[in-house]
Amino acid sequence: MQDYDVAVVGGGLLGSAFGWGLARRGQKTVVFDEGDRAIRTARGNFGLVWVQSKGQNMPEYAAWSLRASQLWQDFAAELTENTGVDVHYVKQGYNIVATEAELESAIAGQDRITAGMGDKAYGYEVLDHKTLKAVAPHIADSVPGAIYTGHDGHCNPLFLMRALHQDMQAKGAHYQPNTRVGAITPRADGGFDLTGEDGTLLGSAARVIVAAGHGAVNLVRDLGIDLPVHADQGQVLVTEKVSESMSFATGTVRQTDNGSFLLGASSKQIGMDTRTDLPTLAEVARYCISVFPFLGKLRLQRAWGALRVMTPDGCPVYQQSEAHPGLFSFACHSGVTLSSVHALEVAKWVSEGNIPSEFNVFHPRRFDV
Amino acid sequence: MFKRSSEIRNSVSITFEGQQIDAEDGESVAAALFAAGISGFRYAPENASLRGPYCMIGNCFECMVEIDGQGGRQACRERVRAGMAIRRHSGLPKPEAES
Amino acid sequence: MTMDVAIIGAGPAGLSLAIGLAKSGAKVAIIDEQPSPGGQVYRAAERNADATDLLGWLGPDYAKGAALVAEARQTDGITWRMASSVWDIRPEEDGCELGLLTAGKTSVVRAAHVVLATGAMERPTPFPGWTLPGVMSIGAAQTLFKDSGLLPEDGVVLAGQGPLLYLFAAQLLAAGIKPQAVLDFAPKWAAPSNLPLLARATLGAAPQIAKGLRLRAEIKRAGIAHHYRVERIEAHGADALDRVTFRHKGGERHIETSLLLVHDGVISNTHASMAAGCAHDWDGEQAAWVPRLDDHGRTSRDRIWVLGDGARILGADAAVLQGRIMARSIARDLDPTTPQDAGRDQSDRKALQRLATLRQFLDRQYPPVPAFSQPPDETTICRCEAVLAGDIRALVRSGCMGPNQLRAFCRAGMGPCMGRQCGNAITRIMAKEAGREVSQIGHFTIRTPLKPVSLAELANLEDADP
Repeated sequence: MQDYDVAVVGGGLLGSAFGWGLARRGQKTVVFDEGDRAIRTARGNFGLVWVQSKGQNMPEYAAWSLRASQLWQDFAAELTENTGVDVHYVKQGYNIVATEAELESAIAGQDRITAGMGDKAYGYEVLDHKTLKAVAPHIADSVPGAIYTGHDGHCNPLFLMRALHQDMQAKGAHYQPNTRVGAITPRADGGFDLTGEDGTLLGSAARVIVAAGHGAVNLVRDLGIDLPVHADQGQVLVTEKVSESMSFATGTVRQTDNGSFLLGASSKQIGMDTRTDLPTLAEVARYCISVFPFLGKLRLQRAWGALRVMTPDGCPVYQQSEAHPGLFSFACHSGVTLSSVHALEVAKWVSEGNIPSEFNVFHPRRFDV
Repeated sequence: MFKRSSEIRNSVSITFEGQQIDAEDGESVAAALFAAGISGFRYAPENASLRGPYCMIGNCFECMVEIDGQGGRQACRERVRAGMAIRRHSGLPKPEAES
Repeated sequence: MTMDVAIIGAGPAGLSLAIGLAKSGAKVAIIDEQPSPGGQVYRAAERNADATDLLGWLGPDYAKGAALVAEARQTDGITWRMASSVWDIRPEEDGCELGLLTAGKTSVVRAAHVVLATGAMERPTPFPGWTLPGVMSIGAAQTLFKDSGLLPEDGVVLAGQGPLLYLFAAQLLAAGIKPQAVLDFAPKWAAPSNLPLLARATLGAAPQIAKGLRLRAEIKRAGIAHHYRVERIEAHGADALDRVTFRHKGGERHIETSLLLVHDGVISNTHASMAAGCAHDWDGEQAAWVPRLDDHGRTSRDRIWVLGDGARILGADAAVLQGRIMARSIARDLDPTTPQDAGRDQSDRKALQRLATLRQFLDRQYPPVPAFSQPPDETTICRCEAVLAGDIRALVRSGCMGPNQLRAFCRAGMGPCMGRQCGNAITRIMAKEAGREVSQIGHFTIRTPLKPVSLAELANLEDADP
């Protein structure tokens, strides 16, 4: 007998969603999390629950994001009801762009998604400047327009993680912070032993999910799994609080529930480096001010860099080890958007020990060609 | 709460919430407001409670006021100039749409 | 602008270092938020140089600041950047870049070495009601006194502990202001276990010990109620303070007042050294984070140094000595052929040791007041985001392992002050609740900007002339 049905390695947004979903299904679950200084992608997360940018070259990912968006409202409501923590989900978003060229490229992307969706209910509208101005009065005169799908929105990712942590424990999951898993060893009975970095036995489980982001690569390599992820650095700016003026999110700007504006969307491949740099911060500020001039007046409160967990094609990786069935390895950069399907559907795959065949397309063997 | 230990030498006129105040040119805005008997400088956005300066060395940000339309100014660091219009910082200035 | 050395902070430490470095021929810039040099301890020293009344009330220890400032002003080769805030510190390969904001204009200063001389701040003193207007720190009131000649009115109540409590009471009395009461959280006399240290401190720093006793005698002579071993304090009022309640000798007492000034010692202001990514350690004696330094003041980051009270609290006189020593160290770093001056180093270090012994006695005599370090659940800890002690404790019980996770979960330390005001208190509350050492709990990661800068100012970022 093992100590747990499932051990989740990683307590970030992915691990928390799995841990919560498994506990909710009555699985005896443990979640191992690192310490206070973990490279926590959720902390750098912008908080978009976003469909229109996903899977433009992989229809299954677009459909999966759409499914996530459809489940989000109920998922958020359940968390809030159980914990009293409001994750502030608002299903309203426009991809507001600064130039005509950007708008054209965005429309081309939407056409690709629509073509790939087949019979699934996905549509988009192009709002011209005047129509957009009616819903977004703060835009600059130079803004050509926006894309609207009805599926995009935003939430407070920090409160999402807090609610998942709180409720998974209320549901009986064992949350173990300050614990870095050093090795996962298959047992004779088909389960796994998990040991800490100093070799002490942390516990055993029938199944294991490795959802430790950048930290997972070495952990699963020893078990013959190649996890093709790299760090994609994004820098985020937060302003002082202002009165509520913008309920919707754009791809690069959103106002949080407490009144701050978040500005973001930089992307750099510079390894495991979370440092901000002034030219990038200034560039993000300039772009966002070019869309919303009033932002220039606001005080910068904080700025930081965070590392997205990026796969070669930007789409998620879901896999179960063939050599060691019961060992799952999951990674993606859209942990907020996909948290609903991670909690409600992927947790089911794991509790049943099987990834349904329609999701085989997310196996990293797609990179082997 | 506080009083001046000596008379104002270079008097200038400023306003707080529309009320006229005499102040010493170049003194800190916080000192000018205290000398005029004002202790509540801002409303905390979290619970709308009235707050006043706590540290006077730029650390606590409790002394934030709006000066000539710019919110989030630290009254302990800003210096008085003739004609300054000071208001309580509500923490929530309304962003204006471009005309 | 490219410098050999950029010094952040024009207090006694920064001034002393700037003088020493400029004399050795280094190209040195000194940057401070205030319009004139002096730091907090010698605040407005230049402007007050002829203010006889004020100088008399503040006493000789303040008056000597004017001489130090004047010496620095007369030293050739110092570039003054007053009324400038450093909002960004960025260690680079061959030095360091500083983002400056002066009169609404951003610029970048590059320096081969950066010295953080950011001084001390008062230890946060959270207690129920401390967010009411009319409650402020003793240091804040003293700043108003030095900077603007503002005096608290009769009836002011002083509370807390430590040398500044006695000094400020005496300064008020000299200026003709009668505090209503001094609520002292410390015992009147040193514990027997601390007497040997007191003896050693007296041997090395007799004038300072005598000064402390004299200040207390002045409070007594003026007939001010001075209560020792006060245990608990609360501030009351609707929109402003009108009443203070406290516990003394087992009974609840109260005082009507509109101004309560509180002080529980000073700690190193490490916001800049943390933002620069320097390693810090918990200093148990001073109950505060301090940067990890070598004997010369080098941090864990190349070419970044910390000096004065920002390194560890030792006071203004020590800061001047440290500034001299560091000037010699950096001069040798800039030009290895600079001759050693072992004799002066040794005598400065010896003088420093005497002051360190005095500080050690003070640290033991005045450990943090328990009423402030572990306040009741209903106390606001993070003033910016209105997070209560009880909120923090509840999150610790649910597994929240450190201040950074806590900040994400409840926004404590995320407001305008960026954790300056609450960081020390949060770490200690979390450690107690978790039953762990403070050093295991850790501190906030500090992000840019260190000081307010608008997005337009950031977007218009430009390099200063090289």
